[in-house]
Amino acid sequence: MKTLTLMLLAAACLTNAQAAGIKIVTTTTDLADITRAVAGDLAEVSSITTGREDPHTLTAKPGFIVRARDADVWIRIGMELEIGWEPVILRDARNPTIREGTPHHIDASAHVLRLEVPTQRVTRDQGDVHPEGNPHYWLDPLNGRLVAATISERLSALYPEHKAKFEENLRRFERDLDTRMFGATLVESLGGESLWKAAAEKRLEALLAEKGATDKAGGWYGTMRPHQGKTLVTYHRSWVYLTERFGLLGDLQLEPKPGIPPSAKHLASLVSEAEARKVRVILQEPFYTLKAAEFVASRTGAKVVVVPTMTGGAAEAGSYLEMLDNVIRKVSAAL
Amino acid sequence: MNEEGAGFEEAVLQTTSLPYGLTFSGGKIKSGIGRLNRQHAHAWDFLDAPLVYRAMFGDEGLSGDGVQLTWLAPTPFYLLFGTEVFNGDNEQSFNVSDAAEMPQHDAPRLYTAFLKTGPDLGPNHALQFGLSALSGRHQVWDEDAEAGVSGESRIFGTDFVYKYDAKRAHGEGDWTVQGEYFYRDQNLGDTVGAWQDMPTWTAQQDGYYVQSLYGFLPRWRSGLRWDQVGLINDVRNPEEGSLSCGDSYRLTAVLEWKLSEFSLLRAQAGRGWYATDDGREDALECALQWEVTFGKHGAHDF
Repeated sequence: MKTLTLMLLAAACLTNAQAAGIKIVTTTTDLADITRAVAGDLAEVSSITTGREDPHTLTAKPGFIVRARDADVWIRIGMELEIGWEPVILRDARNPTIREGTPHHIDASAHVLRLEVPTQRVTRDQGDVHPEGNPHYWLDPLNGRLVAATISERLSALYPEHKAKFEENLRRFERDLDTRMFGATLVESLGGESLWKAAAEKRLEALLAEKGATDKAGGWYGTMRPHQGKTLVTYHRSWVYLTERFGLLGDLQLEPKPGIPPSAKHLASLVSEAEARKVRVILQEPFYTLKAAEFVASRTGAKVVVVPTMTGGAAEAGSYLEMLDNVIRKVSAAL
Repeated sequence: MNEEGAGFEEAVLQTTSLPYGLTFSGGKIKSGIGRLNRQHAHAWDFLDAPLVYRAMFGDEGLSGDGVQLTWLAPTPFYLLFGTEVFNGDNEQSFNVSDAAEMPQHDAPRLYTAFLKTGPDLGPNHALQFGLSALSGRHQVWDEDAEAGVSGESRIFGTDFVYKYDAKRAHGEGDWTVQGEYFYRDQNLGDTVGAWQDMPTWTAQQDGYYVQSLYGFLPRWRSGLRWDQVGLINDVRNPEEGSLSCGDSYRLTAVLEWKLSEFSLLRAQAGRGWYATDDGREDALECALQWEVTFGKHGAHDF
């Protein structure tokens, strides 16, 4: 019995000695990557999900509880994406510092631009509809930028001694993101802030024309610009932020309603709709089966593109920006 | 809800911010012993409870009015200690007789202790072990004989669960194995009525189950469960003297189809071989279930 007590005591000391950096636990890998970009060496960041699974469902394993117990800061996507598992982990971890509503519990959706916020009562017969809007917001690079700003702001409030560093890192991340989005030339001449402001107000083309920079558009914006107005089919309604940002039409899904599996009847009507609208691409994440997509592809001549929407979902998606880059490259190549 | 009407399965008050990793709950609670006991019936993988649960705790499991204190130890791996104090009124193992001749004991009459632990095996695997111990008063009153016994009832249990996460949509490729073993030792020496001065009523009995489920397609799972009770089944009571009763066992298969996130269909079939007074009887059991969840999106425990 004495040996056991000593062992437990030693183990407890070990966990305390590891408190070198700020321990941040995020629910998703994209959040972890953005947090690493903002916090740099000042924090040890880990993610509950790996980027390879469907983020809606997860088993709250004992290992997650231990990580949450030791966390100084907890960051989630929010908008009820993690509602199936986050409350269980937080409850069992008994870490009063990171309970929902405390300053150390960060909801990354605080300032993002939300799409598909329901205007009527949400019921089960609509499928798995989230009452606060579509939670897959990180596929819009602007939202990634806003999330980084939120994290920087919240971490600076918690650790004011590091505020300058967080903000310096944030600027670097923003420059990196802006350059990938618009191309170096545009960012240098017009600045990321004004480009994003115009994009958010849907007057980017007008701004470029005004500045005589229409032919200087590079980056993801330049790549996707020729495809504006095209329709694509997706498995789940997880791509709306991408299609909205890049002027594509993403209202056709293999699922008849969110979370309901593709049915033969729905796929049959989808085929005729896809043909009428000249759909060239069927887009889905790697964890879904290919049967439904291949069914529609064989009857319409469209191409099936499987690409992860989360960091870590594939080797090419090693960081948040690389994940977006991989998506843009593969989608534009197929369109 | 059952034949006797509607009632609360669990009505709990639980603390959320005690220090040192402690959580305190009180009310009408389900005991944290074992694996299955804490789960509400709708979260089970099979339609019914294993034989060992029905024999030791009854169809509703071990629950009652009580308090629970659990402690998440500050270890680098998951380690949870728990202890409970119940009024103690479980027909199978911790019975309180209301016969006038029986000695009346004040509550609390049942104490439990348990631990759960599991290593972190990475993103695809999860494993957890548990140990449980229960000790409480148990009373048996025989109406016909106008006699009864009162004494101690002790149960020791161990459990494990392993889950594999294939990281595909809707549980495809996911696999789980789970099992529990319970041993009960009853020593009822306080004799009353016609059994006065007769030897102590004793019983040593055990039981276990092992089950496994596999997601062979998205939204589809199939499973198999092996149930056995009475490998140890020694009873000595005043009426019949010393008996060594046989064991009963059962094999059950289940098929589950998740229609959506909020409703599922299950078909279950089993073959049981039960030891009865007339020898071994076998039985075929089939059942269908349609489960719908209402209300806000639920979150399930591990």
